[in-house]
Amino acid sequence: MQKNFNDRLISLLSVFIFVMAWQIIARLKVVDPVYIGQPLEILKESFNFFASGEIYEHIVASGVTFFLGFSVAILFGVTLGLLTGTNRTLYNIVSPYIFAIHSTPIIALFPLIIIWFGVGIEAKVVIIFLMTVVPILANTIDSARSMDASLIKMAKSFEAGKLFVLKTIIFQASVPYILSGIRVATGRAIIALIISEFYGYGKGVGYLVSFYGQTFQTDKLMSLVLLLILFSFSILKAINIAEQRLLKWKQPDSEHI
Amino acid sequence: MFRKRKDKQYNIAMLKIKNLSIRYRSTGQLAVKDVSFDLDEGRILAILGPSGCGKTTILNTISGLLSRQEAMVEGEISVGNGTSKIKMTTVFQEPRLLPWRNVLQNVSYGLEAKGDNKKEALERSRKVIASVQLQKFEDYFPAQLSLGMQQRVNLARALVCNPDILFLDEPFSALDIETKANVQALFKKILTKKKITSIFVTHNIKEATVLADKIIVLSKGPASIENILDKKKLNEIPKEALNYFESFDE
Repeated sequence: MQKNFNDRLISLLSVFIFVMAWQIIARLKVVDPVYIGQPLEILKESFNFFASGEIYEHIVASGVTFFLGFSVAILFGVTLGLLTGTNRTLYNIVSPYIFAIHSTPIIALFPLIIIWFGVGIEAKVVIIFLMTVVPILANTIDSARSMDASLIKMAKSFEAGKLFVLKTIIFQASVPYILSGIRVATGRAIIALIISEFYGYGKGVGYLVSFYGQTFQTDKLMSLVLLLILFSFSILKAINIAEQRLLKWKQPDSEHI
Repeated sequence: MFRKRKDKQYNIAMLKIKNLSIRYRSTGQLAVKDVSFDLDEGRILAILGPSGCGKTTILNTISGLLSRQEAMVEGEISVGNGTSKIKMTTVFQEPRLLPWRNVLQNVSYGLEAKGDNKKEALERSRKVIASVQLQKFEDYFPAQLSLGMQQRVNLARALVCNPDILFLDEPFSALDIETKANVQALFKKILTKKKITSIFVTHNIKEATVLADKIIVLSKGPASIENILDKKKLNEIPKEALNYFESFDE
Protein backbone atom coordinates (compact mmCIF):
# COMPACT_ATOMS: atom_id res chain seq x y z
CA MET A 1 0.00 0.00 0.00
CA GLN A 2 2.80 2.38 1.05
CA LYS A 3 4.80 1.38 -2.03
CA ASN A 4 1.79 2.08 -4.24
CA PHE A 5 1.38 5.52 -2.66
CA ASN A 6 5.07 6.32 -3.20
CA ASP A 7 4.83 5.27 -6.86
CA ARG A 8 1.90 7.61 -7.41
CA LEU A 9 3.62 10.45 -5.58
CA ILE A 10 6.71 10.13 -7.78
CA SER A 11 4.54 10.17 -10.94
CA LEU A 12 2.61 13.24 -9.72
CA LEU A 13 5.85 15.05 -8.82
CA SER A 14 7.26 14.28 -12.26
CA VAL A 15 4.19 15.85 -13.96
CA PHE A 16 4.24 18.84 -11.59
CA ILE A 17 7.93 19.57 -12.26
CA PHE A 18 7.38 19.27 -16.02
CA VAL A 19 4.42 21.70 -15.97
CA MET A 20 6.30 24.16 -13.73
CA ALA A 21 9.33 24.11 -16.05
CA TRP A 22 7.04 24.61 -19.04
CA GLN A 23 5.32 27.60 -17.36
CA ILE A 24 8.68 29.22 -16.45
CA ILE A 25 10.16 28.68 -19.93
CA ALA A 26 7.08 30.22 -21.58
CA ARG A 27 6.73 33.02 -19.04
CA LEU A 28 10.39 34.07 -19.38
CA LYS A 29 10.01 33.72 -23.16
CA VAL A 30 12.96 31.32 -23.38
CA VAL A 31 10.70 29.82 -26.07
CA ASP A 32 7.95 32.02 -27.49
CA PRO A 33 4.55 30.98 -25.96
CA VAL A 34 3.06 31.18 -29.48
CA TYR A 35 4.88 27.92 -30.17
CA ILE A 36 4.31 26.05 -26.92
CA GLY A 37 1.49 27.83 -25.04
CA GLN A 38 1.46 28.43 -21.27
CA PRO A 39 0.02 25.93 -18.78
CA LEU A 40 -1.90 28.57 -16.79
CA GLU A 41 -3.35 30.10 -19.96
CA ILE A 42 -4.26 26.63 -21.21
CA LEU A 43 -6.17 25.95 -17.99
CA LYS A 44 -7.91 29.34 -18.31
CA GLU A 45 -8.89 28.62 -21.93
CA SER A 46 -10.19 25.19 -20.93
CA PHE A 47 -12.35 26.80 -18.27
CA ASN A 48 -13.60 29.44 -20.77
CA PHE A 49 -14.53 26.77 -23.31
CA PHE A 50 -16.87 25.13 -20.83
CA ALA A 51 -18.04 28.35 -19.16
CA SER A 52 -19.09 29.90 -22.47
CA GLY A 53 -20.60 26.59 -23.64
CA GLU A 54 -19.08 26.97 -27.10
CA ILE A 55 -17.29 23.61 -26.87
CA TYR A 56 -20.36 21.45 -26.22
CA GLU A 57 -21.68 21.16 -29.77
CA HIS A 58 -18.17 20.18 -30.93
CA ILE A 59 -17.84 17.57 -28.20
CA VAL A 60 -21.24 16.10 -29.08
CA ALA A 61 -20.38 16.02 -32.81
CA SER A 62 -17.02 14.33 -32.17
CA GLY A 63 -18.48 11.98 -29.54
CA VAL A 64 -21.20 10.71 -31.87
CA THR A 65 -18.67 10.13 -34.68
CA PHE A 66 -16.22 8.44 -32.32
CA PHE A 67 -18.68 6.07 -30.67
CA LEU A 68 -20.40 5.18 -33.95
CA GLY A 69 -17.13 4.29 -35.71
CA PHE A 70 -15.62 2.57 -32.68
CA SER A 71 -18.70 0.52 -31.74
CA VAL A 72 -19.19 -0.69 -35.32
CA ALA A 73 -15.50 -1.69 -35.37
CA ILE A 74 -15.81 -3.60 -32.07
CA LEU A 75 -19.03 -5.37 -33.09
CA PHE A 76 -17.76 -6.23 -36.56
CA GLY A 77 -14.23 -7.12 -35.38
CA VAL A 78 -15.38 -9.46 -32.63
CA THR A 79 -18.08 -11.20 -34.68
CA LEU A 80 -15.96 -11.68 -37.80
CA GLY A 81 -12.94 -12.55 -35.64
CA LEU A 82 -14.77 -15.37 -33.87
CA LEU A 83 -16.16 -16.78 -37.13
CA THR A 84 -12.83 -16.43 -38.95
CA GLY A 85 -10.84 -17.91 -36.10
CA THR A 86 -12.98 -21.03 -36.05
CA ASN A 87 -13.32 -21.60 -39.79
CA ARG A 88 -10.23 -22.37 -41.82
CA THR A 89 -11.78 -21.51 -45.21
CA LEU A 90 -13.12 -18.18 -43.96
CA TYR A 91 -9.69 -17.46 -42.45
CA ASN A 92 -8.03 -18.07 -45.81
CA ILE A 93 -10.55 -15.74 -47.48
CA VAL A 94 -10.33 -12.93 -44.93
CA SER A 95 -6.64 -12.90 -43.92
CA PRO A 96 -5.26 -11.16 -47.09
CA TYR A 97 -7.66 -8.23 -46.48
CA ILE A 98 -6.67 -7.92 -42.84
CA PHE A 99 -3.03 -7.81 -43.87
CA ALA A 100 -3.83 -5.24 -46.60
CA ILE A 101 -5.82 -2.94 -44.27
CA HIS A 102 -3.15 -3.28 -41.60
CA SER A 103 -0.41 -2.24 -44.04
CA THR A 104 -2.37 0.59 -45.71
CA PRO A 105 -1.90 4.15 -44.44
CA ILE A 106 -5.65 4.72 -44.18
CA ILE A 107 -5.25 8.50 -43.87
CA ALA A 108 -3.80 8.57 -47.40
CA LEU A 109 -7.11 7.17 -48.63
CA PHE A 110 -9.11 9.91 -46.94
CA PRO A 111 -9.68 12.07 -50.08
CA LEU A 112 -11.03 8.98 -51.82
CA ILE A 113 -13.21 8.06 -48.85
CA ILE A 114 -14.72 11.57 -48.97
CA ILE A 115 -15.52 11.06 -52.66
CA TRP A 116 -17.14 7.70 -51.84
CA PHE A 117 -19.06 8.73 -48.72
CA GLY A 118 -19.34 12.53 -48.89
CA VAL A 119 -18.13 15.17 -46.43
CA GLY A 120 -20.65 14.27 -43.72
CA ILE A 121 -20.31 12.00 -40.70
CA GLU A 122 -20.24 8.84 -42.84
CA ALA A 123 -16.70 9.35 -44.14
CA LYS A 124 -15.39 10.04 -40.61
CA VAL A 125 -17.09 6.93 -39.26
CA VAL A 126 -15.56 4.85 -42.04
CA ILE A 127 -12.07 6.25 -41.30
CA ILE A 128 -12.40 5.45 -37.58
CA PHE A 129 -13.74 2.00 -38.44
CA LEU A 130 -10.86 1.20 -40.81
CA MET A 131 -8.24 2.48 -38.37
CA THR A 132 -9.57 0.50 -35.40
CA VAL A 133 -11.03 -2.71 -36.73
CA VAL A 134 -7.72 -4.49 -37.43
CA PRO A 135 -6.30 -4.74 -33.87
CA ILE A 136 -9.66 -5.98 -32.56
CA LEU A 137 -10.18 -8.40 -35.45
CA ALA A 138 -6.62 -9.74 -35.43
CA ASN A 139 -6.61 -10.28 -31.65
CA THR A 140 -9.96 -12.09 -31.73
CA ILE A 141 -8.84 -14.33 -34.59
CA ASP A 142 -5.54 -15.19 -32.84
CA SER A 143 -7.37 -16.06 -29.66
CA ALA A 144 -10.01 -18.21 -31.38
CA ARG A 145 -7.35 -20.04 -33.40
CA SER A 146 -5.25 -20.83 -30.36
CA MET A 147 -8.22 -22.21 -28.40
CA ASP A 148 -7.54 -25.06 -26.00
CA ALA A 149 -8.89 -28.02 -28.04
CA SER A 150 -9.46 -30.08 -24.88
CA LEU A 151 -12.18 -27.65 -23.74
CA ILE A 152 -13.95 -27.96 -27.10
CA LYS A 153 -13.74 -31.74 -26.80
CA MET A 154 -15.21 -31.52 -23.31
CA ALA A 155 -18.14 -29.49 -24.70
CA LYS A 156 -18.62 -32.01 -27.51
CA SER A 157 -18.81 -34.82 -24.96
CA PHE A 158 -21.96 -33.07 -23.72
CA GLU A 159 -23.25 -32.83 -27.30
CA ALA A 160 -22.97 -29.03 -27.22
CA GLY A 161 -23.95 -27.30 -30.48
CA LYS A 162 -21.49 -25.13 -32.44
CA LEU A 163 -23.19 -21.86 -31.50
CA PHE A 164 -23.24 -22.85 -27.82
CA VAL A 165 -19.51 -23.65 -27.94
CA LEU A 166 -18.82 -20.35 -29.71
CA LYS A 167 -20.78 -18.43 -27.08
CA THR A 168 -19.73 -20.25 -23.92
CA ILE A 169 -16.12 -21.20 -24.68
CA ILE A 170 -14.51 -19.48 -27.66
CA PHE A 171 -15.96 -16.01 -26.98
CA GLN A 172 -15.33 -16.23 -23.24
CA ALA A 173 -11.73 -17.34 -23.75
CA SER A 174 -11.23 -14.47 -26.22
CA VAL A 175 -12.42 -11.69 -23.89
CA PRO A 176 -8.93 -10.82 -22.55
CA TYR A 177 -7.57 -10.61 -26.11
CA ILE A 178 -10.57 -8.58 -27.33
CA LEU A 179 -10.09 -6.07 -24.50
CA SER A 180 -6.40 -5.82 -25.30
CA GLY A 181 -7.29 -5.16 -28.97
CA ILE A 182 -9.80 -2.47 -27.93
CA ARG A 183 -7.14 -0.84 -25.76
CA VAL A 184 -4.71 -0.61 -28.71
CA ALA A 185 -7.54 0.60 -30.97
CA THR A 186 -8.53 3.44 -28.61
CA GLY A 187 -5.44 5.52 -29.41
CA ARG A 188 -5.88 4.87 -33.13
CA ALA A 189 -9.57 5.86 -32.92
CA ILE A 190 -8.75 9.26 -31.41
CA ILE A 191 -6.08 9.94 -34.05
CA ALA A 192 -8.56 8.91 -36.77
CA LEU A 193 -11.27 11.15 -35.29
CA ILE A 194 -9.09 14.26 -35.16
CA ILE A 195 -7.58 13.82 -38.61
CA SER A 196 -10.94 13.04 -40.20
CA GLU A 197 -12.35 16.26 -38.67
CA PHE A 198 -9.48 18.32 -40.12
CA TYR A 199 -11.18 17.74 -43.45
CA GLY A 200 -14.67 18.37 -42.14
CA TYR A 201 -16.35 21.71 -41.86
CA GLY A 202 -17.70 23.70 -38.95
CA LYS A 203 -18.03 21.06 -36.23
CA GLY A 204 -15.94 18.70 -34.13
CA VAL A 205 -12.97 18.94 -31.77
CA GLY A 206 -10.64 18.04 -34.66
CA TYR A 207 -12.02 20.94 -36.69
CA LEU A 208 -11.31 23.32 -33.76
CA VAL A 209 -7.79 21.90 -33.36
CA SER A 210 -7.12 22.57 -37.03
CA PHE A 211 -8.65 26.08 -36.84
CA TYR A 212 -6.69 27.17 -33.74
CA GLY A 213 -3.50 25.64 -35.14
CA GLN A 214 -3.80 27.61 -38.37
CA THR A 215 -4.57 30.86 -36.50
CA PHE A 216 -1.74 30.38 -33.94
CA GLN A 217 -4.10 30.33 -30.94
CA THR A 218 -1.74 27.92 -29.20
CA ASP A 219 -3.30 28.07 -25.71
CA LYS A 220 -6.73 27.17 -27.10
CA LEU A 221 -5.22 24.39 -29.21
CA MET A 222 -3.37 22.99 -26.20
CA SER A 223 -6.51 23.10 -24.06
CA LEU A 224 -8.19 20.90 -26.69
CA VAL A 225 -5.23 18.52 -26.59
CA LEU A 226 -5.66 18.38 -22.81
CA LEU A 227 -9.33 17.56 -23.32
CA LEU A 228 -8.41 14.75 -25.74
CA ILE A 229 -5.87 13.35 -23.26
CA LEU A 230 -8.56 13.28 -20.55
CA PHE A 231 -11.02 11.63 -22.96
CA SER A 232 -8.51 8.94 -23.95
CA PHE A 233 -7.63 8.38 -20.29
CA SER A 234 -11.33 7.95 -19.40
CA ILE A 235 -11.82 5.36 -22.14
CA LEU A 236 -8.76 3.39 -20.99
CA LYS A 237 -9.97 3.59 -17.38
CA ALA A 238 -13.40 2.27 -18.47
CA ILE A 239 -11.66 -0.64 -20.24
CA ASN A 240 -9.68 -1.38 -17.07
CA ILE A 241 -12.88 -1.44 -15.01
CA ALA A 242 -14.55 -3.73 -17.58
CA GLU A 243 -11.48 -5.98 -17.50
CA GLN A 244 -11.58 -6.25 -13.70
CA ARG A 245 -15.25 -7.18 -13.79
CA LEU A 246 -15.13 -9.58 -16.72
CA LEU A 247 -11.86 -11.25 -15.79
CA LYS A 248 -12.30 -11.62 -12.05
CA TRP A 249 -11.76 -15.37 -12.54
CA LYS A 250 -8.18 -14.56 -13.48
CA GLN A 251 -7.44 -12.76 -10.23
CA PRO A 252 -8.59 -15.03 -7.42
CA ASP A 253 -9.19 -12.61 -4.58
CA SER A 254 -9.95 -15.23 -2.00
CA GLU A 255 -7.51 -17.68 -0.56
CA HIS A 256 -6.36 -20.59 -2.71
CA ILE A 257 -7.56 -23.85 -1.24
CA MET B 1 -31.63 -35.48 -8.41
CA PHE B 2 -30.61 -38.77 -9.86
CA ARG B 3 -33.03 -40.85 -11.84
CA LYS B 4 -34.39 -43.62 -9.64
CA ARG B 5 -32.70 -46.83 -10.51
CA LYS B 6 -34.77 -49.26 -8.46
CA ASP B 7 -35.80 -50.98 -11.68
CA LYS B 8 -32.16 -51.74 -12.41
CA GLN B 9 -31.02 -55.29 -12.17
CA TYR B 10 -27.62 -56.74 -12.56
CA ASN B 11 -26.72 -59.22 -15.29
CA ILE B 12 -28.40 -57.19 -18.02
CA ALA B 13 -25.69 -56.32 -20.47
CA MET B 14 -25.45 -52.55 -20.87
CA LEU B 15 -22.53 -52.78 -23.22
CA LYS B 16 -21.34 -55.47 -25.63
CA ILE B 17 -18.14 -55.12 -27.58
CA LYS B 18 -17.36 -57.77 -30.17
CA ASN B 19 -14.17 -58.08 -32.22
CA LEU B 20 -13.38 -54.36 -31.98
CA SER B 21 -10.43 -53.20 -34.08
CA ILE B 22 -9.46 -49.55 -34.48
CA ARG B 23 -6.98 -48.09 -36.94
CA TYR B 24 -6.03 -44.37 -37.03
CA ARG B 25 -6.54 -42.91 -40.48
CA SER B 26 -3.76 -40.29 -40.20
CA THR B 27 -0.95 -42.72 -39.38
CA GLY B 28 -2.46 -46.01 -40.54
CA GLN B 29 -1.47 -47.41 -37.14
CA LEU B 30 -3.54 -50.27 -35.72
CA ALA B 31 -4.35 -49.12 -32.16
CA VAL B 32 -6.77 -51.83 -31.04
CA LYS B 33 -6.96 -55.42 -32.28
CA ASP B 34 -9.89 -57.77 -31.93
CA VAL B 35 -11.12 -56.77 -28.46
CA SER B 36 -14.33 -58.29 -27.09
CA PHE B 37 -15.96 -57.86 -23.71
CA ASP B 38 -19.30 -57.03 -22.17
CA LEU B 39 -20.46 -55.12 -19.13
CA ASP B 40 -23.58 -55.60 -17.06
CA GLU B 41 -25.75 -52.69 -16.01
CA GLY B 42 -24.64 -50.96 -12.82
CA ARG B 43 -21.17 -52.51 -12.83
CA ILE B 44 -17.76 -50.86 -12.96
CA LEU B 45 -15.24 -52.06 -15.52
CA ALA B 46 -11.57 -51.13 -15.48
CA ILE B 47 -9.52 -51.21 -18.66
CA LEU B 48 -5.98 -51.84 -17.49
CA GLY B 49 -2.91 -51.64 -19.66
CA PRO B 50 0.45 -49.99 -20.16
CA SER B 51 0.66 -46.32 -21.19
CA GLY B 52 -0.04 -45.74 -24.87
CA CYS B 53 -1.51 -49.21 -25.47
CA GLY B 54 -4.84 -47.91 -26.79
CA LYS B 55 -7.01 -47.87 -23.64
CA THR B 56 -8.24 -44.33 -24.18
CA THR B 57 -8.83 -45.09 -27.87
CA ILE B 58 -11.28 -47.84 -26.86
CA LEU B 59 -13.00 -45.48 -24.41
CA ASN B 60 -13.26 -42.62 -26.91
CA THR B 61 -14.57 -44.94 -29.62
CA ILE B 62 -17.38 -46.26 -27.41
CA SER B 63 -18.25 -42.77 -26.12
CA GLY B 64 -18.23 -41.33 -29.64
CA LEU B 65 -15.47 -38.80 -28.95
CA LEU B 66 -13.25 -40.43 -31.56
CA SER B 67 -14.89 -39.64 -34.87
CA ARG B 68 -15.06 -41.98 -37.85
CA GLN B 69 -13.06 -39.34 -39.79
CA GLU B 70 -10.20 -39.90 -37.36
CA ALA B 71 -10.29 -43.68 -37.16
CA MET B 72 -11.55 -46.76 -38.98
CA VAL B 73 -13.57 -48.94 -36.63
CA GLU B 74 -14.41 -52.59 -37.22
CA GLY B 75 -16.49 -54.87 -35.02
CA GLU B 76 -19.68 -54.40 -33.06
CA ILE B 77 -20.42 -51.89 -30.32
CA SER B 78 -23.83 -52.40 -28.84
CA VAL B 79 -24.99 -50.07 -26.08
CA GLY B 80 -28.15 -50.56 -24.02
CA ASN B 81 -31.10 -52.58 -25.25
CA GLY B 82 -31.41 -50.57 -28.44
CA THR B 83 -34.88 -49.26 -27.62
CA SER B 84 -34.02 -45.96 -25.97
CA LYS B 85 -31.22 -43.43 -26.29
CA ILE B 86 -28.40 -44.10 -23.89
CA LYS B 87 -26.86 -41.10 -22.15
CA MET B 88 -23.07 -41.24 -21.94
CA THR B 89 -20.76 -38.73 -20.29
CA THR B 90 -17.03 -38.59 -19.74
CA VAL B 91 -14.83 -37.67 -16.80
CA PHE B 92 -11.54 -36.58 -18.35
CA GLN B 93 -8.01 -37.19 -17.13
CA GLU B 94 -7.53 -33.44 -16.53
CA PRO B 95 -10.53 -31.61 -15.05
CA ARG B 96 -11.08 -29.43 -18.19
CA LEU B 97 -13.12 -26.91 -16.22
CA LEU B 98 -13.98 -23.58 -17.80
CA PRO B 99 -11.83 -21.09 -15.87
CA TRP B 100 -14.34 -18.23 -16.23
CA ARG B 101 -17.19 -20.26 -14.70
CA ASN B 102 -17.50 -20.92 -11.00
CA VAL B 103 -18.06 -24.42 -9.62
CA LEU B 104 -21.86 -24.22 -9.88
CA GLN B 105 -21.76 -22.91 -13.46
CA ASN B 106 -19.19 -25.54 -14.47
CA VAL B 107 -21.30 -28.37 -13.09
CA SER B 108 -24.42 -27.13 -14.87
CA TYR B 109 -22.55 -26.77 -18.19
CA GLY B 110 -23.60 -30.16 -19.58
CA LEU B 111 -27.26 -29.52 -18.77
CA GLU B 112 -27.16 -26.06 -20.35
CA ALA B 113 -25.52 -27.56 -23.46
CA LYS B 114 -28.48 -29.92 -23.77
CA GLY B 115 -30.84 -26.94 -23.56
CA ASP B 116 -32.22 -27.58 -20.08
CA ASN B 117 -33.92 -24.76 -18.21
CA LYS B 118 -31.13 -22.75 -16.55
CA LYS B 119 -32.83 -22.43 -13.17
CA GLU B 120 -33.56 -26.15 -12.96
CA ALA B 121 -30.04 -26.95 -14.19
CA LEU B 122 -28.55 -24.87 -11.35
CA GLU B 123 -30.87 -26.48 -8.82
CA ARG B 124 -29.88 -30.01 -9.90
CA SER B 125 -26.22 -29.00 -10.00
CA ARG B 126 -26.37 -27.77 -6.40
CA LYS B 127 -27.54 -31.19 -5.24
CA VAL B 128 -24.78 -33.03 -7.12
CA ILE B 129 -22.18 -30.58 -5.82
CA ALA B 130 -23.30 -31.51 -2.32
CA SER B 131 -22.83 -35.21 -3.14
CA VAL B 132 -19.17 -34.56 -4.05
CA GLN B 133 -18.84 -32.52 -0.84
CA LEU B 134 -18.17 -29.15 -2.43
CA GLN B 135 -21.30 -27.28 -1.34
CA LYS B 136 -19.21 -24.58 0.36
CA PHE B 137 -17.31 -23.87 -2.84
CA GLU B 138 -20.11 -23.25 -5.33
CA ASP B 139 -18.93 -19.68 -6.00
CA TYR B 140 -15.25 -20.54 -6.34
CA PHE B 141 -13.46 -20.37 -9.67
CA PRO B 142 -11.32 -23.37 -10.75
CA ALA B 143 -8.08 -21.40 -10.16
CA GLN B 144 -9.04 -21.20 -6.49
CA LEU B 145 -9.47 -24.98 -6.08
CA SER B 146 -6.96 -27.77 -5.53
CA LEU B 147 -6.58 -30.40 -8.26
CA GLY B 148 -8.48 -32.96 -6.18
CA MET B 149 -11.41 -30.56 -5.81
CA GLN B 150 -11.32 -29.75 -9.52
CA GLN B 151 -11.53 -33.45 -10.27
CA ARG B 152 -14.58 -33.74 -8.02
CA VAL B 153 -16.19 -30.90 -9.99
CA ASN B 154 -15.29 -32.83 -13.15
CA LEU B 155 -17.17 -35.87 -11.77
CA ALA B 156 -20.13 -33.76 -10.65
CA ARG B 157 -20.41 -32.20 -14.13
CA ALA B 158 -20.71 -35.69 -15.61
CA LEU B 159 -23.04 -37.06 -12.90
CA VAL B 160 -25.56 -34.21 -13.10
CA CYS B 161 -26.49 -35.38 -16.60
CA ASN B 162 -27.75 -38.70 -15.17
CA PRO B 163 -25.58 -40.83 -17.46
CA ASP B 164 -26.51 -44.42 -18.29
CA ILE B 165 -22.83 -45.08 -18.88
CA LEU B 166 -20.02 -43.05 -17.36
CA PHE B 167 -16.54 -43.07 -18.90
CA LEU B 168 -13.58 -42.16 -16.73
CA ASP B 169 -10.26 -41.58 -18.48
CA GLU B 170 -7.49 -42.03 -15.89
CA PRO B 171 -9.27 -39.59 -13.58
CA PHE B 172 -6.82 -40.00 -10.69
CA SER B 173 -3.50 -39.99 -12.51
CA ALA B 174 -2.70 -36.32 -11.86
CA LEU B 175 -3.47 -36.44 -8.14
CA ASP B 176 -1.00 -36.88 -5.29
CA ILE B 177 -1.20 -40.12 -3.26
CA GLU B 178 -3.25 -38.83 -0.34
CA THR B 179 -5.72 -36.88 -2.48
CA LYS B 180 -5.95 -39.84 -4.86
CA ALA B 181 -7.07 -42.17 -2.05
CA ASN B 182 -9.76 -39.71 -0.88
CA VAL B 183 -11.09 -38.95 -4.35
CA GLN B 184 -11.08 -42.65 -5.29
CA ALA B 185 -13.09 -43.51 -2.18
CA LEU B 186 -15.61 -40.78 -2.98
CA PHE B 187 -15.91 -41.88 -6.63
CA LYS B 188 -16.38 -45.52 -5.60
CA LYS B 189 -19.03 -44.59 -3.04
CA ILE B 190 -21.05 -42.50 -5.50
CA LEU B 191 -20.78 -44.88 -8.45
CA THR B 192 -21.75 -47.89 -6.32
CA LYS B 193 -24.59 -46.10 -4.54
CA LYS B 194 -26.10 -44.78 -7.74
CA LYS B 195 -25.36 -48.06 -9.59
CA ILE B 196 -23.96 -46.19 -12.57
CA THR B 197 -22.51 -48.41 -15.27
CA SER B 198 -18.94 -47.14 -15.55
CA ILE B 199 -15.83 -47.85 -17.53
CA PHE B 200 -12.58 -46.40 -16.38
CA VAL B 201 -9.15 -46.52 -17.88
CA THR B 202 -6.08 -46.94 -15.74
CA HIS B 203 -2.54 -48.26 -15.79
CA ASN B 204 -2.59 -48.92 -12.06
CA ILE B 205 -3.62 -52.43 -10.91
CA LYS B 206 -4.29 -51.33 -7.32
CA GLU B 207 -6.64 -48.61 -8.53
CA ALA B 208 -8.41 -51.13 -10.75
CA THR B 209 -8.91 -53.67 -7.96
CA VAL B 210 -10.14 -51.02 -5.53
CA LEU B 211 -12.72 -49.56 -7.88
CA ALA B 212 -13.79 -52.14 -10.43
CA ASP B 213 -16.05 -55.20 -10.44
CA LYS B 214 -14.35 -56.45 -13.57
CA ILE B 215 -10.94 -55.76 -15.06
CA ILE B 216 -9.82 -56.31 -18.62
CA VAL B 217 -6.09 -56.37 -19.07
CA LEU B 218 -4.69 -55.19 -22.38
CA SER B 219 -1.37 -56.08 -23.95
CA LYS B 220 1.05 -53.48 -25.30
CA GLY B 221 -0.20 -51.80 -28.50
CA PRO B 222 -1.98 -52.68 -30.62
CA ALA B 223 -4.26 -53.33 -27.66
CA SER B 224 -5.65 -56.83 -27.45
CA ILE B 225 -7.08 -58.61 -24.45
CA GLU B 226 -4.50 -60.35 -22.32
CA ASN B 227 -6.81 -61.33 -19.47
CA ILE B 228 -10.21 -60.66 -17.91
CA LEU B 229 -10.37 -60.62 -14.13
CA ASP B 230 -13.74 -60.74 -12.48
CA LYS B 231 -14.07 -59.48 -8.90
CA LYS B 232 -10.45 -60.40 -8.16
CA LYS B 233 -8.84 -59.04 -5.11
CA LEU B 234 -5.30 -57.80 -5.16
CA ASN B 235 -4.01 -60.67 -3.00
CA GLU B 236 -5.60 -63.27 -5.31
CA ILE B 237 -3.59 -62.16 -8.33
CA PRO B 238 -0.48 -64.29 -8.95
CA LYS B 239 2.80 -62.54 -8.10
CA GLU B 240 4.16 -62.77 -11.67
CA ALA B 241 1.00 -61.16 -13.01
CA LEU B 242 1.21 -58.43 -10.36
CA ASN B 243 4.79 -57.69 -11.38
CA TYR B 244 3.64 -57.42 -14.97
CA PHE B 245 0.84 -54.99 -14.02
CA GLU B 246 3.12 -52.90 -11.87
CA SER B 247 5.49 -52.49 -14.79
CA PHE B 248 2.68 -50.39 -16.38
CA ASP B 249 3.38 -47.69 -13.86
CA GLU B 250 7.03 -47.38 -14.82
